[in-house]
Amino acid sequence: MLSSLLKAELKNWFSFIRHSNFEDKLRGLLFVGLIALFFISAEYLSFRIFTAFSSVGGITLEFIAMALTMRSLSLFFLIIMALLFFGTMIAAIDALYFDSDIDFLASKPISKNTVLLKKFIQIYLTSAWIVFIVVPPVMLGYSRAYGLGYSHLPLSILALFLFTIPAVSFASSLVIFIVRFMTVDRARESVIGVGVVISFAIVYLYRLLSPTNLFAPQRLLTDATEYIQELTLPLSEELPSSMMTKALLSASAMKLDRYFISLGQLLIYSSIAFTVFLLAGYFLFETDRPVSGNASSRGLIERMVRFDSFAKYISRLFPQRMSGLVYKEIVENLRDPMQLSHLILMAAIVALHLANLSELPFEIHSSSKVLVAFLNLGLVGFLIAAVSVRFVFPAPSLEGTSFWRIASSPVDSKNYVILKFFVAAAPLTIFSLLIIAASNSFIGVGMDLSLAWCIASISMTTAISAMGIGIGFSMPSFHKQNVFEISSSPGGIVFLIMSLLYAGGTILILVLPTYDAAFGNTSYLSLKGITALLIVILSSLAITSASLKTARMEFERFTEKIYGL
Amino acid sequence: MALLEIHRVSKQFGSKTIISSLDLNAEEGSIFGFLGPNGAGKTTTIRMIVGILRPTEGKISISGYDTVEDAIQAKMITGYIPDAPYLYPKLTGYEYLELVAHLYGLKNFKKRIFTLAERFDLAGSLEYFIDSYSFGMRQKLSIIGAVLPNPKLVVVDEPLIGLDPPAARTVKDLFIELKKDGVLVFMSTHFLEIAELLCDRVGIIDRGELASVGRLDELMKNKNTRLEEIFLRLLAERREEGSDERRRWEALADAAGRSKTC
Repeated sequence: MLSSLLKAELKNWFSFIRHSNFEDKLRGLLFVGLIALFFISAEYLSFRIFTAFSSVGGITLEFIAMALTMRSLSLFFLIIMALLFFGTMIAAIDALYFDSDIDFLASKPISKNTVLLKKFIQIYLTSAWIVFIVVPPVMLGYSRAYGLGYSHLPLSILALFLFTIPAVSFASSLVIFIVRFMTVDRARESVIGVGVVISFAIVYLYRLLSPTNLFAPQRLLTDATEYIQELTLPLSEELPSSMMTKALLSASAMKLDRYFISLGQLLIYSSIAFTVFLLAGYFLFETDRPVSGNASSRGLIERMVRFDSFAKYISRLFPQRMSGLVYKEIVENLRDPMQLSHLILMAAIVALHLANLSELPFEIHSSSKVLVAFLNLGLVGFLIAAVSVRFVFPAPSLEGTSFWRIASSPVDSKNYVILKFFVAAAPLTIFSLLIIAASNSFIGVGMDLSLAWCIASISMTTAISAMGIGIGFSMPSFHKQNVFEISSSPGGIVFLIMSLLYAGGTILILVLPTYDAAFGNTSYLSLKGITALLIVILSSLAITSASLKTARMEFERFTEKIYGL
Repeated sequence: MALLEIHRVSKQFGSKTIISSLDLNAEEGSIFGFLGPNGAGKTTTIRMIVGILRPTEGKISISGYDTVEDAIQAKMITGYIPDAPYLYPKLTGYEYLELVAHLYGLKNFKKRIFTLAERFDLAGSLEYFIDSYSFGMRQKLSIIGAVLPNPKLVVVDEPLIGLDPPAARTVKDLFIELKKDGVLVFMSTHFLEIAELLCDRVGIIDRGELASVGRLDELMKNKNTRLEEIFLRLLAERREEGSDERRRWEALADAAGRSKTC
């Protein structure tokens, strides 16, 4: 039964590929090309980082190099694990309760276990595929930096597979558990809270389920402070991210005994997690859980903060014919619990980043200050790309089947595209300017540098937002269940890669005058600096204009994509 | 002069022709029924009329405004009720209607919104989010949104799907009122009884071509003949002589003919 269901899904995919037109196939090729480009770039970047680590302190300080590698890999896997957990929760809510095949499966004589297994595979593929795109280039970069060869890769991929199972299983189980106590809509909202406590809960849970503790339960009674202190360390032995790191390092060194110990630990975690999922599913999962509760109920957050008043105030700044659209764009984004939860998480990350900067020892040399501030500008570029892929790129796709309302209304396509761009670019620009201004003030860089980087940040935000709208109209995904799936669609990945490349390019343009300002003690507003800024501004204008033109052209064909055959 | 003029309109998706050289006119102050079997091209034609799709060839004009060249002016006087009421789930019913009012540049629309909502028994639900509405409630909201800007042309794709009997009655009465007010209601439906009851003229489309068009009383010369039988017989005649499909349509037409005498 399970194989028939999976076969049907596969046939659906192959049929979609076979019957897509030439243009779609071309886009598909572009997508594969960009993935390859990303793969090569990520591999190269990892190689450079690991090479730099391996040369720290020379041969005599080899253990520091190894510690740096361990630490960076562990952090990398920890971040992957947390993001996978959060992403899976969103994917699981949709797959288990909103998916179009739920009613079909529930009405057929199929056992609950079969439905659960089918759904688990679907959730796994939806949320974990990105891990298999992101992690292997890092593994390859690591292997190349240390000259380890590539024969260990199958072993490392096997460990990676086991590493992803617990996050997916626990997140799915948590969703099933939460939905027992509230409507599915409310569960979506509670993802906000879950997102906030997630980093603590996940570590705690793994610690409790640690095989070591199962054999020595008295360890659970150790001093609470010591316990929490240990858990907050990213290198905690109890974390699967550390086990994954050890498995990778042992496999690459062909120390198979150590590899199999780490693999065994991962296997135990995976088995426990998957069993928890099956038990939660068997006893708690129901396909007929109420989706929305009281029809009049606004979300908890909206009851505290009235988005509609804010949106109304902003929309009044526009001509009447467009004000309704501005209002719609704002409240739709803010009322989507997944968008809001992502926004809160992003804000938390930014706050942590700024807090970290404010804690830096400010007696550091002025050249170091400039370098730290410059790295911060790069980080803002990447942050804007990451936020845009969630908030800007999906905007056209989210219209989807409701697009008839706009298409049949007296709305000028040019105004509509500009409005979409404005609603995306304005908050992002304010967001990036705040980070740059606050961090530059904490670091204490000069006025000339602050001014230059504020201009660079506005240029980056403008161009990236416009690219999001352009690619969003060119490569939409109408039939995805949520923003998370739209962001990880081929179009989303193309946008992410292109915006990252653009942000990287902008940073490169600014490198030379920054070097002069840092080490030559010259003002940034020299000929070299102004020329670099002009290039950044002009390239931003060119990209913005081309992207918005593309969006307008695609707008004309948008309805054909939605309503065509 | 006809309010709606469709002149030699064709529509292709890739290499597939959906509509081929369609000619059709409809007068203001009337109800035009646009009939046809599944896949005949009714919805595609309707989407071209309201400006969602562009004709590959030919021209559509509403009150003299070309739906491509003068799209904004044409849309200003057109209301559209789609076959599936996909609306913005995170807006309340009132916010959706307010959006429509703003898009059409309406002023002082609050009273009209509540009058229409009361008529459709929706006034008490306007403060709720659309994602909590049933299919029928969404359909009602979509109908209110279409007539809110006082259009000259209301284009309707399957108007009664999902509506309860009182709402269906309200829609029928509304269409008759609109007709009296000089509005053209262009309606596609599979319910031939509805077409028979409401329409002044009907056009039957089959495989992207107009098979027949005319006043309902002209088509139904014989008072004993029902529209259903005419429709089925016309489709049968357009099938290849001796084909299985033709035989099937003829058998259905015969059955429809017999059922009217029962």
